[in-house]
Amino acid sequence: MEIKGQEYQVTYDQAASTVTFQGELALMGMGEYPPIADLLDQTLEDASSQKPATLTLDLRELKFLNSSGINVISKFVIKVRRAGGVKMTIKGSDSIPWQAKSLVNLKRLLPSMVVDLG
Amino acid sequence: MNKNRLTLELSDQTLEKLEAYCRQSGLSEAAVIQAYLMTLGEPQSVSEQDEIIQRLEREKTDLEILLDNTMAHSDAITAQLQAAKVAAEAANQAKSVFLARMSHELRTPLNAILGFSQLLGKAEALSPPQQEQLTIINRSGEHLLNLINDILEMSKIEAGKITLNLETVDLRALLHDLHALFNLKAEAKGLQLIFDQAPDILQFVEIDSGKLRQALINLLGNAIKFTSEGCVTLRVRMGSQELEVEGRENWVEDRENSARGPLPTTLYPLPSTPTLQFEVEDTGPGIATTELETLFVAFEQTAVGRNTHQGTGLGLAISQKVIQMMGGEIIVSSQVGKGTCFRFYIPVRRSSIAIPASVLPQRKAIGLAPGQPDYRILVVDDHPDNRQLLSTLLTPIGFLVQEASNGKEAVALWQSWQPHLIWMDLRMPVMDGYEAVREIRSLETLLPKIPTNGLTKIIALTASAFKEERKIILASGFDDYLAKPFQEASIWEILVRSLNVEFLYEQQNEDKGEMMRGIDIAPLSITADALDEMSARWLSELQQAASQLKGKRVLQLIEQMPASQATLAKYLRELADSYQFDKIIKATTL
Repeated sequence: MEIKGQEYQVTYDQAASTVTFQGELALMGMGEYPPIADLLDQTLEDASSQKPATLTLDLRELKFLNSSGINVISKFVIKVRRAGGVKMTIKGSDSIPWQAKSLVNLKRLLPSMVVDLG
Repeated sequence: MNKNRLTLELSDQTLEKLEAYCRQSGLSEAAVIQAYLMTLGEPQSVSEQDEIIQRLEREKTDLEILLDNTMAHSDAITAQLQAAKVAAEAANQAKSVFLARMSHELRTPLNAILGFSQLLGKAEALSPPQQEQLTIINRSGEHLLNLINDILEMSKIEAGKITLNLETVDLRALLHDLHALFNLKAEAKGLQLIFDQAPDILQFVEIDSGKLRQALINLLGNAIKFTSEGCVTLRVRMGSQELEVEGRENWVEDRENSARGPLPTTLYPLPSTPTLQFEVEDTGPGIATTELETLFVAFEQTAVGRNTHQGTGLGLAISQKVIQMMGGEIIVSSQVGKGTCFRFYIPVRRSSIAIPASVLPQRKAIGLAPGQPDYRILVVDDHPDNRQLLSTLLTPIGFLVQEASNGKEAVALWQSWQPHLIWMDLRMPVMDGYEAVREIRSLETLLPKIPTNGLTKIIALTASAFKEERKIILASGFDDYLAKPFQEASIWEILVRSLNVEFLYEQQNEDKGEMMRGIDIAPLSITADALDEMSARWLSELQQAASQLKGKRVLQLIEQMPASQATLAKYLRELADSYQFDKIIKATTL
C-alpha cells in the first residue's frame, strides 16, 4: 500500500510491519493528512493482531515534515501507547536536521519506543 | 437514601423538553419519565470518577507534550529552511561568479581570434577564397561573442544585477551609429533600411543608452535577419506615455494577433513625462499567433528562428526586460506573410546639460599625423597572443611599443622607459594589473617633478562584463578601460582621448546615406575644407589621373599642394603609393 504525492511517498510494507516515508511532506493543515493517518491506523490494527506485535516507521528518507505532519505522527504514537503491547521503532537520520530533535521528542509520548538515528 | 422514594430535580429546560415530547408523541408522562430515567445510566463509583480524572490528566499531559513537540519541530524546520535558503543564495552567488569567470575565460581567447582575423583582413595578399574564409572566422567569432554576451546578460538580469544607468545621450548620434551599424548588412541582403525620425525628437536626453541600444540592436538585427526582401523601418517619435495602437495607413492592425508582454515591474512614469516611441517594422515572414504567446519567453524561439539555427532565443526576452527596466513596455503585432512590427516606448527626460558625447564614427587609423612626439606605448598582458595583437596594430602606425608579461615587469619598464601610455591587463600572474597601477601611482608621487609628457596614462584591459568592476577600475588609478574583445576603432579613440594623438584615418568607403545628413564625419569634413583651397582645375586633373590609374601624374599633382595641406598631401600620397586610386577619387569628390 502506498500514498504518493508530488514531493513525497508513504509506503506500507505489511510483511515487515514497516511504514516508509520519503521526500518532503508539507501538506497544508490537518485537512490533507487523513489518508496518511488512516494508513497509519491500518498498520496499528495489523500489528496488534500479530505476535510479536512490532511496528516500524522508517523516516530516514523524509527530508522535510511540516508541523501538521509531526502532529499526525505524534497522535499516532499516542494511539500506539494506548493500544498497548505494540513494540514501536522509529528509524531516522541524524543528517536531516529536524529529525535529531523532533524524533527524540516523540519518546516523551511513548517512553518504550526505540528511536534509531543511525 | 430511601429506596422507595426518589426526588429528581429537573431543570426548567429539561422539563419543557419532556413536556413537549409528551405532547408530540402522545405518550403518557409516566412512560416518558421512566424512559428518561433509563437513559441516565448507572451512577458512577468514586474510583470510576478517579479513573476518568486520571485519563483526562493523561490526555492533558499528552496534549501539552504534543504542543511542546510541535513548537520545537516548527523551530527545527524553520532553522532547516533558513539554512537551505542561505545555501541556495551562496549557490546563486557562486553561479554568478562562475559566469563572470567563464565569460572572462571565453572572451580572452576570442579577443585573439577576432583581433587577428581583423588584422589579417587588412592584408592585401589574400586570395578571394582566403578572404572569404577569414570573413567566416570573423563572423563565427562575433556570433560566439554575441551568444556569450546574451547568456551572461540574461543571467545577470535574473540575478538582479542590472541597474539603470542614466546619462546624457545624443540621441541623433546614437541613431546615426545604429544606422551605420546595420546599413551594410541590410544592403548586403538587398533590403532597404529606413530610419524615419520625427523632427521634434529631443536630441539630448537622459536615458540608459546601453539598454536602448541593446533593445534596438536586437530588434533591428532580428528584422534584418528574418527579412529576405523589402524593407526594415525604424520610426522614432515623441509621444505621451501610452503606446498608440491605432492602425497605420499601410498597416492592418490585427488585435487578436498581437501579444503584450507582462506589465512592467518598474513604476510608471509620471503622466507629464515625455516618452520616446520606437517602431521596428519589417516585411519579413511574420510570426504565427501561437508563437506570439511565447515570443518574449527566454530560450523560446520561433519556427523561423529555429530553422535558421541562429541565436539563443534570448534576444527578445532580454529586450523586453531592458525596456521594462527603463520604465517602458513593448508590444508586437504581426501577420504571417506580411511582416512584423515591434513597438515600444520609454520615458525620457530632456537633458539639463547639452554636451554631445563624442560619438566618433568607426574609423581606421592608418598613420600618425606629422609633428607629433614619438609615443612610447607599453603593452602588458600575460597572453602573448593578446600582446602581439596590440603591438601589431600599434607598430605600423608609428608608435614605439614594448611588451611586458606581468605587472612586475611593467613597473620595471615604466621606470626605465617612461612610456606615455600603458595598456594593462588586469588578471596576470606574479603581479596583477591593480597592484601594478598602485605601485606606479605611488612611485609617481616620489618623482621630483612631473615629467614633461605628463603622467603615464594607464588603460585597463578587462574581459569583465560587470559594470561594478569598471567603477572599481577607474577608482584604482586607471585612466580608462577597454573591454575585451575590442574593436580596433576603440584603440584609436582611447589614444585620441588620453594622449591627444592625431591620426590619419582611412577614408570611409560606405556612403553614410542621405538620412544622416548633418552628422559630422571627421575625415570628410577635413578634406572638404582642405580641397576648397585647391583649384577646380587641379581637382579635375587629379581625378582624371586617378581614374586612369596614372600614378606618376597623381604624385606630381600632389606635389603641387601647398605646405598648409601637408596632412592631406601625405594622406593622398599614401593612397597613391598603395594604388588606392578609387579612394583618391572618392576622397576628392564632394
